[in-house]
Amino acid sequence: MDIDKELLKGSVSLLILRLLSQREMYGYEIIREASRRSDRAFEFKEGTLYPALHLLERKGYLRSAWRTGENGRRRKYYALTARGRKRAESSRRGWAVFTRAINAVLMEP
Amino acid sequence: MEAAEQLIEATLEASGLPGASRRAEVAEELRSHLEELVSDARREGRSADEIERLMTSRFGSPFGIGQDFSRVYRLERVVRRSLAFGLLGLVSLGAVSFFVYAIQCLVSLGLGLPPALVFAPHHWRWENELLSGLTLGYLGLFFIERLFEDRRFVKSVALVGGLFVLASLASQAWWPGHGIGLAVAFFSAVLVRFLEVHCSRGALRFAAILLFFLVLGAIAHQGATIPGARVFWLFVGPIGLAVALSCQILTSMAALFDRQILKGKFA
Repeated sequence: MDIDKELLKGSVSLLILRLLSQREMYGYEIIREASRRSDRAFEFKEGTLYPALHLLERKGYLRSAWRTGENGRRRKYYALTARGRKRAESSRRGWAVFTRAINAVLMEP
Repeated sequence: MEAAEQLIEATLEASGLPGASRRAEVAEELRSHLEELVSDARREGRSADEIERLMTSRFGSPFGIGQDFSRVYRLERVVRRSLAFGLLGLVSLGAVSFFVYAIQCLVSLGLGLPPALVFAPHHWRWENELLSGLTLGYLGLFFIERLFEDRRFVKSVALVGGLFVLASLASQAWWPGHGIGLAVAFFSAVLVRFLEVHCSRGALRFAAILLFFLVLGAIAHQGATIPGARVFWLFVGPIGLAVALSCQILTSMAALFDRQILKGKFA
């Protein structure tokens, strides 16, 4: 089933922060990981990830570094900063409250 | 990978990212992503055409992505552009003023008039207003036109004109009798830009600007104590010529700045 694009767009930052709270990743890896964990429900336009990553970095939630992988390809890895870690946690809690509230309304007979 | 490069180029085009190094870094990041996508698709056994279609559909709209980047770096872009325009304004004003004052001093010496006449408070103040208003007005018109899609000249005249009206009123309130200098300067800037946009013949354009500044100079120097009509025109003529030539310097500097700096580093 397709997910509402606007809903997905508003959740991209949350997804990025959550995925990076486990380990550092590069852009393509973030997309693959989001797709895998969501059973391919999150298939957003891949280019839109990068402005979101840059915005989070400018806000001080992420830091980045270029590294060369085993296949010789250069990749830009993103990792959470201490501030980003706090933000990821508060966003996760906020999302839990939000979905509980929405579910309470939607599921009421 | 031609399709990948086109996607990257179109994204950067719409992004207005400030700084060549930032643009290069974003390009490299997007290129690295698209290379991963292509190599995964090849592993899946897709054909070149299929890969190209897949890349375009999965990447998204380059214009939309560029606009998202533009929003992320808006503040940095505004600061950089303001600094660049400020610097251009100062350099242009310096070049124009130096040129016009140097010619005036030479003419005064040649006619046996004291060069101090050039820097007499009334003359110096009026001319400074004219040169700074002409320079900043012209640069304002030249660059503000870019903000509009249609009727660019009229809209930029209205916008820059509005700013000049406010500056003239403030100047008039602060130093009574001074607002008119800025108004004349703005009218001169509009004329220079109008001729540049609408008259393709360089010689005709220059002649019209020269004539305008000769008339303006003659009116402005009416009350000056310059002995004799011949000396008057020998004094005013080269000054009008100097201001007209300085307009050429100004338009060349703006075009050079636009080509070498704006398009290369900002656009």
